This record gives sequence, C-alpha cells and structure tokens, in this order.
Amino acid sequence: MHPNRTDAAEIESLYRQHGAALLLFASAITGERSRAQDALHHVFLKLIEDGNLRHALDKKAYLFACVRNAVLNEAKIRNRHTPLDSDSARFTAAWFTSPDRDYAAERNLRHALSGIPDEQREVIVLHIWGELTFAQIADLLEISANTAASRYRYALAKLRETMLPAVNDKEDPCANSRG
Amino acid sequence: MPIPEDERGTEEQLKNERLNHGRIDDPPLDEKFEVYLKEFRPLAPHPLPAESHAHATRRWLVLAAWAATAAAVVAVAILAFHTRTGRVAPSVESSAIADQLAKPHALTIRSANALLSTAPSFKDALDQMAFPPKQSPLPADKRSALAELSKEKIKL
Repeated sequence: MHPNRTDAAEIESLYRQHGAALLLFASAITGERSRAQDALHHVFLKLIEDGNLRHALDKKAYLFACVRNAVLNEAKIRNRHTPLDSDSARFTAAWFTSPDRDYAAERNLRHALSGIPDEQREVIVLHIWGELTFAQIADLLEISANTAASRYRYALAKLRETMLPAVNDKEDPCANSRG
Repeated sequence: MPIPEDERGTEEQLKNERLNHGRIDDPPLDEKFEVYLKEFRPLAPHPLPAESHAHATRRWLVLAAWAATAAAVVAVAILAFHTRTGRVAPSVESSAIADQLAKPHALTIRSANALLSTAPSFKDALDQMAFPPKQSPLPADKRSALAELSKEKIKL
C-alpha cells in the first residue's frame, strides 16, 4: 500500500517533531549515533513506503516502539555476523546540545548515561527527552507502570550521583534546593 | 525484555540507597535535576531522505506508467494495422476479381493487337484501350435519359 501525499507529509512532520528524541532513544540503546541514525531513517522510510502509521492510536509512542524494534533487530543481525564492537567505540559522539555550549557538561551527561543499566537508560531517555508518560513507557517496554517509574527514579539518582561532582566544580543546579 | 528487578524490591533498594546517602525522598531535588537535564537538547537527526526517495519512487512510477501506456498504444497500433491490412488485402483481391469478372472484354495482348490493327489511328487505339465502349445495360426497347438529354442542344 502506498501512502498518499498527506500521509507522507504527516510522517515527515512527525520526523521533524520527534526525530531528535527518537535519535537519542536509539543512541541510548545502541550507544552509537551512526547506527541509531540508520535505524531511524530505516523506520521512517518504511513508514513512508507502507503508510502503516495511520492505524496507530498513539503515534508518538508507536514511533518510539518502531525505533526500538528496528535497533534491536539490527543488533541481533549484527551480533550474528560480526563480533560486538568494543565499548570504546560507543558513546563517543555527542548526543546533546548543552546549555551555554558547555561541551564538558554534555560529555559528563553522556558518560553518566552510559554508566547506568540499559533498561534504566531507556526509561530515563523516554521520560525526560521523549516526554512519554510512565504509562506509555510501560506499554512500549512491556513492563508495568510502577516498574517504569522505579527504573526512572533509580536512574535519576544514579545520574545525579555521577554528574553532581562534576557539576559542583562549576555550578550546582540543585544548590538552591539543598539550602 | 526480562524484568531484572521486582517492583517492590526496586522501590526498597531506591529508598535504602537514598537513606544511605542521607537523602530521604527529596522531590524538589529530583525536579530541579530533571529541569537541569531537560536543558540538554537532543541533537537533531540528519534530514530524512524521504522526500528525495519518495520523489524517486514517484518518478519511477510515472515513467513506468508512461512506458506501459506507450507500449500499449504501440501494441494496439500494430494490431490495428495488421487487422486492417489483413482485411484490405482480400478486399483488393476480391475487387480485382470482381472487376475482372465485370469486364467481359478485359484488355489482353490479343485484344490490344486487334485494336491496333483495326483502329484508324494509334491514338484511337489507345483511347479504346483506356476507355472501352461500354455496352448499354438497358434493353433495346428502353432508352437512357442521359443519352436523350445529351442529344438536346441547349441554347444559352
């Protein structure tokens, strides 16, 4: 089935709207921005060709699910044929534009994200940058909403632990609340 | 994906960890940290090659459609031509036969020789070959109106 012009325009609009968060989510799973980018393009080109998006009730959550499936499928194929890349190749390219072009802070955040378990990293990326609710995350990851919330809080605590020493050297974003 | 931790277990773990670090649930702290994290904006992805891809696909479809249409037109033209020539050839043949049959005295070498020998001049012989005198289809007791009219002398 080929989508009409409206469908293609809608999908392109969704790409512009959620592309950055989807790419971050894919990067959080793969650890490699180039593979994440490939997976993202693959998903959207497939959607444009097939026009499957019109059946999705929650399009945003559906897109995240599609990207996750594409990344995991690609990882399965890759692991079957080639050995795993070393971790040194992962989490190297920038993922964010940091406030005030603070590249050290961006690297610090990326390092902190790489240090938490995969399932927690997925949840925190989905909730903070993907702006999905815990219910949506629960559906996407096929876990309960409570589990999603738990993973989120746990990941947040770990990130804070990892990041605050580095942030404190410059400016503690939580200094006011600490009193 | 397998769920590595039990929900309640995770909650307990989180609570214990916070207690161990001297940070009993502190929602404002979490909220401020969330706000800080949100200041980091994910990098935009590369532009989607969907437009060019879609255009290419559409262009191929259009070209394929035109090619198919052209092929169909050519096929129909060839068929029509064959059909027409197939029909015309026999009709020409049959009309020639009919003419042959209709002409009781068709021009032959023998008749041409006879005409040349009997005609007063070569020109008359050629005229008779080209325009042979037609036998009147009318019976002897009837007259042709055209013949009668041709006899009249019209005064202008």
